[in-house]
Amino acid sequence: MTGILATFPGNVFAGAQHTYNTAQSGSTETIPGGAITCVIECWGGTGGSAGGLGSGCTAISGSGGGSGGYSRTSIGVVGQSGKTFTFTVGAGGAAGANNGGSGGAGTGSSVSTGTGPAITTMTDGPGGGGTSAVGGTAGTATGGAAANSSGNAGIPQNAGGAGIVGINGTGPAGANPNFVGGANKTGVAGSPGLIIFTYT
Amino acid sequence: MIYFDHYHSGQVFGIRYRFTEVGDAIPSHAHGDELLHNIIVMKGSIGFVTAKGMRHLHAPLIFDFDGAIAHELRCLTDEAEILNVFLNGIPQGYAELPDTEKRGIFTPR
Repeated sequence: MTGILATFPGNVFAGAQHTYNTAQSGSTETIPGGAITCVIECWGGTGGSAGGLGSGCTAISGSGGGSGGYSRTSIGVVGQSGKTFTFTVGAGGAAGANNGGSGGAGTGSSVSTGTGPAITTMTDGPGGGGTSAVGGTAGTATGGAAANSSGNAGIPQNAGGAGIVGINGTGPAGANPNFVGGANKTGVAGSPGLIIFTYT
Repeated sequence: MIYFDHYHSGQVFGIRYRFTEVGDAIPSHAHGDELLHNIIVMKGSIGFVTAKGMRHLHAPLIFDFDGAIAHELRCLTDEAEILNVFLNGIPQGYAELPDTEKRGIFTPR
């Protein structure tokens, strides 16, 4: 009887999307009732940019932070209502101090099996912090069953690395530096990672 | 080699540059409001280089220009010297910079 009812329009699962974009650790994501599949997308935190150097005509900006890695897994969740995945959203890196301080690296994000269906742990490394002369490193990505993409490095004395484009969202970019002023300008802090669970 | 030192007197702020040799240059750059300045050529000659070409500036001269346009400053005679006077006062935070950032030798980074 239940199987027949599930085909009636009034019982069709409308879909759901749960987004997490603040740093947190060991959190749980609960699978909603009626969902058939879940697309999990995970991005690491991004690096902060460096502080500026010089003054006046010889002022230069610091280098941008790197963006985090991205991975994606799709998995069936029929009959898994109420069960969970476990996840961590990485933090953004610190801003570099004025007069050439280096930006801080972000921290990584991850999604792993909770009480629900088994998945390979998705681990998305953070973007590195920019320095005066070198852009922050790109985050790594492993464990995604459908995709794993490294982030983008920051550009020396220029913009942060672009965020990786996913299916249901785009990851945060590495922090841009302050482009004017030189040594009197601090860098900019990186952004937390991002995790999106999309149910259909 | 390019020597620089900050000049600060009352509300007036500037940065003096001394180019020791022909060819010394401050790379092309542009300014936001905070760093707009004019150029007072105090000694020798420099080239003011934009996408439209190079304008020769000879001492003594006060030169006003649109600082938002990218410009390079190129030494045309040995020991040329300029003072860039900032049009909007001392930029925030410049007074607190360490001495190493207020005077020294400019090294492209």
